[in-house]
Amino acid sequence: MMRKLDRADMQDRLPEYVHGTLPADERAQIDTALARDAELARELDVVRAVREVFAGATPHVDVDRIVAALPAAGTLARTPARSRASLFRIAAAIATLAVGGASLAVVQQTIRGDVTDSLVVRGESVSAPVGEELAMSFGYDLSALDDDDLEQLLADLERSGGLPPAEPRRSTAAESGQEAGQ
Amino acid sequence: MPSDAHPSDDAPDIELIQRWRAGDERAARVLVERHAGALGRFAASQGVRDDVDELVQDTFVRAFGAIETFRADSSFRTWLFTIERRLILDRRRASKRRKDDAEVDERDAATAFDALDGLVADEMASRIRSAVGRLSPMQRDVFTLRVTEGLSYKEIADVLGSTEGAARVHYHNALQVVRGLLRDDA
Repeated sequence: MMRKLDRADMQDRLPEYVHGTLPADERAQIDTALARDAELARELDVVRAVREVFAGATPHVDVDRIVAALPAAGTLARTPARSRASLFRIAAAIATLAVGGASLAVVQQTIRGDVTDSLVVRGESVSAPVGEELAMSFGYDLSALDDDDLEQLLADLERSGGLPPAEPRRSTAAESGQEAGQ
Repeated sequence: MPSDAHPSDDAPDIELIQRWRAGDERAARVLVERHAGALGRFAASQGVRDDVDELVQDTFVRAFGAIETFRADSSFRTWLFTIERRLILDRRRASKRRKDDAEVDERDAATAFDALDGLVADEMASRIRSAVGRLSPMQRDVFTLRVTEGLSYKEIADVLGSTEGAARVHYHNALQVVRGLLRDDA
């Protein structure tokens, strides 16, 4: 069905009119309007003149060189842009495995007790500053030591100067009662 | 499998693309011959001076290299314009970084339009070029794509990342500006 164009439609379609891409019925309507609408005809003149100027100012482009630079025909069917997506999937899988593997190792270590039971003793005084930087760590399970072993360990530490220069101050019974009452 | 039939010069773009994907080298030549001129004009209208040829080549190489991503939602020509415009913007940004020049767009684009100086000869052509050169960059892009290349508002909106309504407004404003300037100069 033929669509009736109003003036705004015709103004809109002047480029298509100049390019010759309008349906025949629309072109005929514009031809009729141009015969009696001088303003529309002047707009058409401008559009036509601009098109001629710029279409005539086409820079030289070397078609042979461009064609020679293109990928070989048919090759992209086997190595499409999809390969980029595949690379991304592989990278994502590696990242997932790395993060997941590390997490699993931590969980396993925790379950075995390597983390929770390992002890790190930092030579810091509770109530007095440490005179010099001191740090020691034990790689064995303290829960396996009995009272005698612990006393021996503390004695060894004292002999080696590994204990802090000031021991924690003992709390008095009054202080303990005060804290308990709070 | 490559077809033995020579691709017709008036075959639709999408058919030529399929032929090229199937191994027909000649289909690519037809596509390049069909669109290279328009890409060259668009590049010149964007202020590209010396390396229009290289820019058009890069556009085709990118397009053919990513042809699997072309869904034919827009026309092949529109897609090419979009790729070329992106390349131009990338180059402009790279050039700005190199020059460490903070001034952007409006003035630069207006002076860049003088790239067409050597391409237009007579006085009327010079007046038209001057009038179009005084449009804002967006008006000029819309106007040249619409008038020179015959793109629809939808296609222009796709190329420029805008809307059909905005493209229509820019076109009509640009037409009035150019008409007014040509009348004043007369």
